[in-house]
Amino acid sequence: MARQVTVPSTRERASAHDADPAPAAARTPRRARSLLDGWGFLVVPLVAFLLVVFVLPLAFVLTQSFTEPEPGLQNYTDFFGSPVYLDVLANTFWIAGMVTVATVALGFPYAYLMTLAGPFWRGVLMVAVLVPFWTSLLIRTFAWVLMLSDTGVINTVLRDIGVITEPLPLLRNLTGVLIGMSQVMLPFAVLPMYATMRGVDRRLVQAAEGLGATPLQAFWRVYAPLTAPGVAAATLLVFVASLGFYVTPALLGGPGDVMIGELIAKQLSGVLRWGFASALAVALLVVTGLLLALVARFVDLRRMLGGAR
Amino acid sequence: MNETIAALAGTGASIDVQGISKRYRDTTALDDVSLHVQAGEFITLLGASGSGKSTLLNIIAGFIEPTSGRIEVAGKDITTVPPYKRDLGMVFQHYALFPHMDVWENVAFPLRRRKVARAEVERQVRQALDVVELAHLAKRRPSELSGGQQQRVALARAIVFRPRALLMDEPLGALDKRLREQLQLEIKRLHSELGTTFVFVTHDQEEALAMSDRIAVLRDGALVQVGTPEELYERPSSRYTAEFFGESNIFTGHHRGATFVDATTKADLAVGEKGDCAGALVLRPEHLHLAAPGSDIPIEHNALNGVVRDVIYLGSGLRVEVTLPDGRALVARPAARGRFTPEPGAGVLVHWHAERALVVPDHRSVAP
Amino acid sequence: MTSRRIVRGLLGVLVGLTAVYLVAPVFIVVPMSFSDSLFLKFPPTSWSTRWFESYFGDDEWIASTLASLQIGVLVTILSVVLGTLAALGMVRGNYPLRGAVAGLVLAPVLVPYVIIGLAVYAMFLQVGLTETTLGFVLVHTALAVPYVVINVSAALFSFDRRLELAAMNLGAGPVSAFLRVTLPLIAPSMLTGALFAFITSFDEVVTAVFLSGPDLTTLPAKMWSGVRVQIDPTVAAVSSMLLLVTLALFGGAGITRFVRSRSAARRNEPTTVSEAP
Repeated sequence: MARQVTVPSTRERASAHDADPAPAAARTPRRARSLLDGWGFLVVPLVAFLLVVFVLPLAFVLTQSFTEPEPGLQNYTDFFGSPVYLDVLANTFWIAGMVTVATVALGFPYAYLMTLAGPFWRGVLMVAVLVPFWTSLLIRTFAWVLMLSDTGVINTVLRDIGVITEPLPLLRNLTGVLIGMSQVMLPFAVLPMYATMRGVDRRLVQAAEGLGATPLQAFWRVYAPLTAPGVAAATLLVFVASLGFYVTPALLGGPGDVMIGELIAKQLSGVLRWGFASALAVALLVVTGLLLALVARFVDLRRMLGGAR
Repeated sequence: MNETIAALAGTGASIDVQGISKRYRDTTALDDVSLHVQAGEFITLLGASGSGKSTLLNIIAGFIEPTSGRIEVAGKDITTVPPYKRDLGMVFQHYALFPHMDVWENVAFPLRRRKVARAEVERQVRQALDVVELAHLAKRRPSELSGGQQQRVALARAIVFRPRALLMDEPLGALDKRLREQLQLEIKRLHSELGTTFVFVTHDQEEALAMSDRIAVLRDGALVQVGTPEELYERPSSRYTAEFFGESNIFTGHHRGATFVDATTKADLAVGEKGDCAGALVLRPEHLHLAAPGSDIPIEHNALNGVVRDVIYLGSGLRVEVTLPDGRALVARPAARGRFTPEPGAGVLVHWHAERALVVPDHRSVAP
Repeated sequence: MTSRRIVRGLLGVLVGLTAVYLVAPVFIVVPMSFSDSLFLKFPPTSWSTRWFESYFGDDEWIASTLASLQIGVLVTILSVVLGTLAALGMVRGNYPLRGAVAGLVLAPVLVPYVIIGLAVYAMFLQVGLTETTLGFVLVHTALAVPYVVINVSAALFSFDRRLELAAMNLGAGPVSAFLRVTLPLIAPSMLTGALFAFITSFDEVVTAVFLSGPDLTTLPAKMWSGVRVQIDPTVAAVSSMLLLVTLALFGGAGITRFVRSRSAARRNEPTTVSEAP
């Protein structure tokens, strides 16, 4: 069983800063270090910018939800009291959930194989995950429209090889949405799971097998639990992103597949229902925020987002 | 080659450390340390990790501001002078070579900062690289060099602008033994030919002994003893210093008059000097002689009976461990082919000339 | 042992299919863009370049492209400046509410674009910033700057500050040390951040749809209206061209990095490994 196992553990990144901790803190002597020092001021421009361009509009929306068209909780009661709108909410969660299951199910073996592969194939697989990031979302979704339509690639190919006689309805329905969104969300599932798997020492699995576990047992009882944080992060990340998604479901879904993002946009075409749209936005934001707080417990979002889209 | 080095030689400056302290919120890194470094000498700051030696060097370099005290270089107070104006060369443990510049540009960097004319820069960089024998690698990037070569580049970069003093923070720590010994010799040679003041930091006492004109031993932020290698080895002023250098056998006890009273056995041992204090008797292994039990020994010698526990052949001699009746162990380093051949398990007489033993004050000793 | 190999084999097939699923579908736009038909059925029965001509001959399409480019460049500059400064402050500075600031800087990535679009649209209507370059630049910068911050702060975090100390010891003042030592070494990350910032702005469709109008429309917004209600095959042509440019850019970047790491390996040089382009 002499297999070369090279495990690129992130812990192997040996620190070169072991000699002198003191000089790194050098030029700012302790007694002079204030609450907001020279370097710290550099965050001010961006913070001010975001407060004005990002936070202020969101605050505006929040107030709008309570003041348009007239002060009160009217918009919220309209939303939560109406079966039609609650349907949309349920639909949103339902679709997001299914996309999450699909992407995590596909992403896990993908990420796992990436850890097993040699540098070349790992690079290939990584590129395959990153290419979707580089191409515009709209182009990708448009491509799915072309793929899934009645006269699109899939139906034509299946017809030509004789599997079907009538075109499968893959567009303007749930199926289309699921297929399209899963492809878009897959990188969001693969990357955090891969990041966690990289840090798992595969020699532990070997050790388990050496102690008498079957490969399946070793995998289930030793490896899988260690990848749990990555899987949890992927799950929550994909779910959260799917909840607020607009472009893909709008183009690939039918009238019965409206998600909350599209519902919000709809409020501004035709009769302008600012307040109602704002209330929807607030509801979505609250749910998103709560779930993201959950994600932050499992993985360092910054590390995962660094370099990827 | 000698002209090259001579051309690079600057005049070394003296460095005065006066009452330097460095306190952090809950620790004291340096406590009122004063030291005078002579112009042109090679002094080593020696100590265990946490002793404050690196902190002191960084204060001299200007990277850390002291809580109190002064630093003077060639008589001028530089305590508040920023590091980029101090004109002191520095070599870091991990070289700190600029990875985005090649060797040549690294060495030229300090000259460029001083607005040296281009032709002069060319000349001086080439001189510096010749001194460290790396002129043929001038176009390489640091990542393409071995550890020893990187260290030489760091040296060249530090001396090219003829600093008044060269500060070195454990520069050989990252190298393997043979390379380290080789570079020790090269640095020593560099010092004798440049004449600049060298301040060297290390935790390796052998390194300090081999290279320094003087050694300053630091412990827990305080200066324990300063002296030449010989002074520190032969005449340590405290038990700590005695134990720091080489191996030694130590008896705790009390110095009374011309005898040392061993606390464990209450035996009287003659010593060379008179004194009166709680202290420790220090015996270097190379001063201990071994003889068969019952042999005649000279009158000036003290003797103890014991049993040989272990004999290790070192090539250049033997290392013999002897167990005394009270249970303590002595280490002796006799010649390989002496008159007496120690055998493990056999009885032995250990003796030494009374004047070879040293008594040092030791606060741990209690008067009998 | 063979069962393991079978499992591995099946795994490979599954993953291979997944990789195809990830990458291949987007390429369908290329042949379709050469279809002569108005209805984009597959496979195209006749070929022509009419949709490319349609794009190049249409003032609105060109105008929207130029608008997107202009906005993209401005967004890149602004987000690199704001983002790099912020990264420096976040990694090296002391300031209160560190967590809140980090959250604020990353928030635009995590909040659904529909919400941002709605909010910004509502506010910009009040101040007359809809359909203006300035309005777009402001919003897109907010969306793009997190990528700059993430990349640059990662570089700063792993930057060996003793290099700055060495520079200062050798005679460089703090500013000079930063410009000559720190900046060149974080420049690659700034570039990566700039690239992502540009793409984020150039491809951004949701807020663009909200803010676009007769006075100013960006390319994604124009493409959106060409897909939403009825498919305008020009979109296929535009998509092909964009795809080509994107892949050329990243392919080029990837190949240069690959070649550089190969030649370095040949010279036994340790290389820096990063997670993603």
